[in-house]
Amino acid sequence: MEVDKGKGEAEETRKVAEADRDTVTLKSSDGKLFEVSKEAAARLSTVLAGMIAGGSIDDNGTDLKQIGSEALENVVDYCNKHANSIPSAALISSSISFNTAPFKEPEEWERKFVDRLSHDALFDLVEAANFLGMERLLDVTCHKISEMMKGKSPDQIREVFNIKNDYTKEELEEIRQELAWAFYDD
Amino acid sequence: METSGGDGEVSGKRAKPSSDNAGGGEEDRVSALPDDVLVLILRRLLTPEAARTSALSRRWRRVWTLLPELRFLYTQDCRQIRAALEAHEASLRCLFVGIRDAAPDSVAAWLPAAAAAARRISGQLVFHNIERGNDAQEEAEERGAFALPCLERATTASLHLGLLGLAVPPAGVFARLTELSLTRVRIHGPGKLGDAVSSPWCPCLRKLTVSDAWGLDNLVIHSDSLRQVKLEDLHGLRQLTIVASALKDLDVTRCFMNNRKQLVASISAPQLVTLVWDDLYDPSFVHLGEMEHLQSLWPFFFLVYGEDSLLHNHACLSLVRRFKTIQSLTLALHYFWEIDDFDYLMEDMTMLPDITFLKLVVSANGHALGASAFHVLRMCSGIRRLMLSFLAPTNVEACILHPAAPEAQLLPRLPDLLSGGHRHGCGHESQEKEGGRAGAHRCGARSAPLNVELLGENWIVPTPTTTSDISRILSSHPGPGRRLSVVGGNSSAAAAMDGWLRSPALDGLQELKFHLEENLLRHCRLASAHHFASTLVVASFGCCVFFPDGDDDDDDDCREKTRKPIESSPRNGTS
Repeated sequence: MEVDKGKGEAEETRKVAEADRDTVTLKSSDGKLFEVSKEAAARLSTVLAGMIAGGSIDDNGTDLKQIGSEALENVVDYCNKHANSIPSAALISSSISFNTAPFKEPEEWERKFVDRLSHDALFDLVEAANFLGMERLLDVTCHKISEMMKGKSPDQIREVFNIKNDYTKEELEEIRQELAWAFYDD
Repeated sequence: METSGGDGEVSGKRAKPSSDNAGGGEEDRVSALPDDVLVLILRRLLTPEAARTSALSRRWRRVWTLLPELRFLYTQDCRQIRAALEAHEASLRCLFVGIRDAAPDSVAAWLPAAAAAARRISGQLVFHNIERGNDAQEEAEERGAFALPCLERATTASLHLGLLGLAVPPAGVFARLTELSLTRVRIHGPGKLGDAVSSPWCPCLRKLTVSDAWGLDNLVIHSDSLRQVKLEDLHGLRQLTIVASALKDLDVTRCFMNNRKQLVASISAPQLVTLVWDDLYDPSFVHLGEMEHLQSLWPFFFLVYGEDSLLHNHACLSLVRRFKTIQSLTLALHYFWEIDDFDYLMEDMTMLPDITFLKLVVSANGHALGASAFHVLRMCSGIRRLMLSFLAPTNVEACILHPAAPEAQLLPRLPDLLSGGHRHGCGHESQEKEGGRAGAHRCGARSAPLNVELLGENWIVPTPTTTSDISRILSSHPGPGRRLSVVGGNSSAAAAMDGWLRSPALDGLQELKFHLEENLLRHCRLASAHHFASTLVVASFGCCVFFPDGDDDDDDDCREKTRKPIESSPRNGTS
């Protein structure tokens, strides 16, 4: 009995201690600190979830050397907004019909979230999301990039993304022939 | 709730939004992304568009061939598909092919490539051919046949062939297939479909759907894995044998009813839980084995008025008679438009099994249905739950009984109005008459809880009369609301529903069910559903978008409720 009671008390103190720290502190490559809810971080990022579970979270700021402060700010911003949003998708039946793509469309607020980003900030965020294993954020940012490609010719796409055409004229012609089916307009 | 902080000092950097045509920085950021991220980008494009990125630069040459899914949506040129399937390299998780009215030669052009690709599919195959019109049937005879490809690794396959032929191979193994759906097909040899879906070939098949099929006169299925079988409109079917030790749900609809000679059906499914036999039935030609676990039964419809010795009623009654107790029985009562020359046949129904949940589906076609419905109800003294679905014109007939009648005690359990098909352009007089009666009676029923159910295909395009009827009832009913169920519906319905949901008649609603058309998601914003959050006990929402109407706490409550188990009705609602 005595032992049980002691254990209960210990657990109580631990719970209180945990409640005190329901956020984690992340440190960007340029040394800025950001706080994010522990619950949201664990839910949205497989990498952070792993770090939290494995106890490798540093109270003074977990170093994320690959992520700049602007991108990390966006990551944290996204986590906070996600925690506050109503996941209406949960109310939508998950049946996949033929016409709908087999992935979820971004929600309205997610669209707005990525729409306001500059070109570079968008790609910084894609890389950060990829690095942190944030599947949903990666989906949302990739959706934005795919929309920037939609309905454009290769020339137009190169222009939007500054892609350098390193094909020779002959190679390009070869590709166009090989992929005639894809260049066919219907 | 715009951006939280940071706008001040970094705003300079954000000044240039990534709008489509604004060239980015100096760097090529996108080509620097790893392959798996590029695949995530390309899979959101249609397959031809994704393949065109090959021409961007060497970096992009083969990225599209790593796509796990290929999607061709309603193209008219099948050559595209063939070339794409030949050029693609990775294993395929999904292949969606939509073709509009495929011409025979163009189908022939891509079928071999499809069959080759089908072997590589590790997930889902969907092929959907939309035919031109209803008269395309004869023309389709001359079109090529789609050879049922060897799906060695695919897990689900859905083929809607628009009446193209389906050639069943003489042998083949569908080792991982768990779901197969064939719609609008003409089935050919050399093999037999029954063999193809039976255990030796399809050891994992759990769900089989065949609907609107020609060329199946004999279907023999032996399967240890099947859980669910749905056979609908198998034109010309004469013999059906199913031996399925694990089968739980069987649905046979309109397979025998137009083909009344030399029929034999033999079903051995000892684990069966749900049986829909919406078809001819006679113990002399339909042999149903032991079904100890059967809980839910839906027999052929019963004609309330008709000529004596009708096959329908015989089929319905003799199937029901097989069972002493049925937890859930769905009875469909049907009225012809013209009943003057017919006999009243309800007296033929003399007894029903012990029923816990009765679902009465009535298509009254404008006739008063009180007598027939209560003939049934009188025999079901033990029911604990009753659901009435009215598939015919929306006269408020559910209430035409007199409040003093013994049946009146059932009133609180009756739905007030159910609607589906409106009769078009006729019956004004009778509608007015019935409407008047119902209106008069309604006063007596005011304190009854309100049960409103909307279902049926026609509801998807609600007529002004339907919506105004329902609005009228809701606004004239001050009693406590209890249940609202809406299946189908479109954007114009959404506006009306929004109004209904706000009606005081529904205050205190305990049960709310929606299943709207999927592609209309964006239009249906049922904010007003939130105010039921405190009273809702059962909620089921499909394909709706809910937007906050009040504070966030309400939403949380509402979401919480949706997770509670929902009792599903046997037929309508989910397809």
